[in-house]
Amino acid sequence: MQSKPNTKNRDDLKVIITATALTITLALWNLFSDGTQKPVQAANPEPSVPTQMLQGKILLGGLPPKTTIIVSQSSPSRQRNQQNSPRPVTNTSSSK
Amino acid sequence: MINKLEFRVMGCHMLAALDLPEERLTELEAVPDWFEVWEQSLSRFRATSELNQLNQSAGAPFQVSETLWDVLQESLTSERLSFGLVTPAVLDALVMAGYDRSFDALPSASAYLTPDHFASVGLLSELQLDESSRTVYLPPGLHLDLGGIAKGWAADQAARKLSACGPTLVNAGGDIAISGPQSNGEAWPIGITNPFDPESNLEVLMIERGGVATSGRDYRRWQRDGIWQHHIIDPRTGLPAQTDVLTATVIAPSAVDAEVAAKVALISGSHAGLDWLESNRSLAGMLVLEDGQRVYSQRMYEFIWS
Repeated sequence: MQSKPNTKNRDDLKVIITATALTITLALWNLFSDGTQKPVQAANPEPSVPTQMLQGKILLGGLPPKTTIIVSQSSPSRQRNQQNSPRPVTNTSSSK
Repeated sequence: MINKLEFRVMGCHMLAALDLPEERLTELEAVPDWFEVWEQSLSRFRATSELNQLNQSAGAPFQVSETLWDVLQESLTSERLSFGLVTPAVLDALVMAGYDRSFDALPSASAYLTPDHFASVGLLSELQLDESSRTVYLPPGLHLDLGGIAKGWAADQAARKLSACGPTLVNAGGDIAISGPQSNGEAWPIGITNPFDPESNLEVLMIERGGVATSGRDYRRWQRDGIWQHHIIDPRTGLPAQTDVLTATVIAPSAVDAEVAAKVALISGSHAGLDWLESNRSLAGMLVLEDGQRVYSQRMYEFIWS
């Protein structure tokens, strides 16, 4: 009958390697995460204002929430693209 | 090669463009005559127009041409889809606001002495129509102005007729109909005029087919008793629309749809107007507000040159 010490040794080796890898990973994780985390400090610390509590009943239903309006701000890239845009064949405007 | 013909009719600047292999204007030369015929039928500023005759018929049966019948049908559809916000039954309100003659003939600062009252606005659905004889019964007190819808309809019709010759674009006073991509397969570049600086464009759109239109209160406006009035009537009040939108540009499946949708967005104001545009997947739009801000519907970005 074959003995099983070799198999057991290999299993032990695997466990040791896995444990070592996990330990190194966690150690590096903590090292770098500690390095990047800095305490957040407001430039002009102000005393916090407690949020005003809603007075009255909260009713379900009513009007659906409004769509958020996206305000377009012309960026330098857009201005550059407009300069390179094809020459319009015509324009749309309020009737003239 | 893009051949262009520009002319003035219906009180507006018009442009017809046809993409042909060579320089040729023959096909385009008929377009001003088409518009002339349509104006004679649809304009309220021509004393002898068919529309004016209908407005004076006051309840008596009036047989209309195919052109006027088509535009009335289009107007009925528009009124229904806009929940009554866009209706041609605003003529009395327009006249009361001071728009009683062609805009070119309006004094810039008219001294109207009439009291500041408003006209009640009816609905086109009050019409009785007999399709078999193309007869219209206009209720007494209901008078029609087909202004914007007529221009959008005319642009669509002209583009459809010209498309037999090649890819075409027709601009009827800002209401633009496009028959399909250019011969090289590219979309047509169309500028959106900056209402604060008409010599520049806010955006350049790339449109393959369908329609685009701008409705605005930046140009057709006048003063009455020191107060600025404009030509876009809110049927709910019978007065020029009170809105934070200066101009609304909308892309739609046709020029007349775009014209109607742009008007709805302008009358509704920026919040409700944008909501409405977003809720309709066949529309895309950009609103310019009084303070110069621009707001876009999500689909609009698909058409903007970038």
